[in-house]
Amino acid sequence: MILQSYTPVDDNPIWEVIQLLAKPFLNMKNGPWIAGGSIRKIVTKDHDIGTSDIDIFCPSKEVMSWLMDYFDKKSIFESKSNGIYTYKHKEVLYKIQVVKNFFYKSTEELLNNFDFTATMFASDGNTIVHTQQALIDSELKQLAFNRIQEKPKPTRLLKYAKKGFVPIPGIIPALLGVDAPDYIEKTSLYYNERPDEY
Amino acid sequence: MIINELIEEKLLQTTSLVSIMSPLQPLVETYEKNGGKETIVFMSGLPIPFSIFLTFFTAAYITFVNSSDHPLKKEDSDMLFAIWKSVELNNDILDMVNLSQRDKKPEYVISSIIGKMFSAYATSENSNEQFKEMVYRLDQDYNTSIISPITL
Repeated sequence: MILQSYTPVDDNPIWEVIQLLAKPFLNMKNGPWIAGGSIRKIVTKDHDIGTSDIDIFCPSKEVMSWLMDYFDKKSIFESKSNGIYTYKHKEVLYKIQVVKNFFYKSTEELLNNFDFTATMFASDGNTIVHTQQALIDSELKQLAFNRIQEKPKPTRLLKYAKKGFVPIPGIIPALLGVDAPDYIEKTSLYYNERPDEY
Repeated sequence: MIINELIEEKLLQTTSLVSIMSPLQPLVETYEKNGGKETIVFMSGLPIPFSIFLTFFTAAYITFVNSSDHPLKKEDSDMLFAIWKSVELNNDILDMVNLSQRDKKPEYVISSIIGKMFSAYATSENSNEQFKEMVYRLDQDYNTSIISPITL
């Protein structure tokens, strides 16, 4: 996986929240990381957090427990509940979620776990790394698989359609659980076969 | 939005009128202009941008087909409900809706049209297979449309 880096320069409030809350303990090499849709919004210069969470991913259960303990002791949150913390910044509420059941050994492993290419962004609070395909699909608002899910969830299609993403052919039957692997592979996997230099 | 100016003209074309007006077989077309592409679904005379169509279509699919295949968790149900409540249509869509459905709210109109589509497919004894066929047809029509977009 070839990763590209990006250093945010604008005054995106999502980036400001990450700087305020998480930068001290994030680490690009070993984690924890912030990754997914909230980071995509920074790269695409979208200042509205919308319905996205700021998801924090950890390298181990021990780090995750330490992080939750660290957040639990802080009195800066509007609310706290089971690893989900609500933080108010410039009159906007941000939902910060410590992901509890999945742990990653590296940035690459974390990014490769995402189902859609447009979500493959990760940050340590200093820089953002992503695949080139993540950038292309985010800018085109194009929904393509990074990997096909074993258990398709129609609500994933609902969520991304609501965000204005349009799937490439094959994604719709795949996410709606229409059982035809050959058809799905033929129509959607070719996107994964594109080189990173695409 | 790259096709606003063509919507009214499209609705007046008699050659495609049957497909445009059909609630059971939506017409899917992709338009290309200045390097940008936009896919539009025509249903019952209403032109709907593809992502908005998909929002309603998927919600209807989950409602009609979900059952034992995809049991919804509580958080999924909450999200579905929240999405239904939060669907907002921009002025472009409002303008489009005004072409054909002047008296009703656009979100009601779109959900009603798609609901009729699913209801029609649900009349068969083997509804789930019918629904799957409907999904394939939609995806194949979409695939065809983006392979051969209409250049404006």
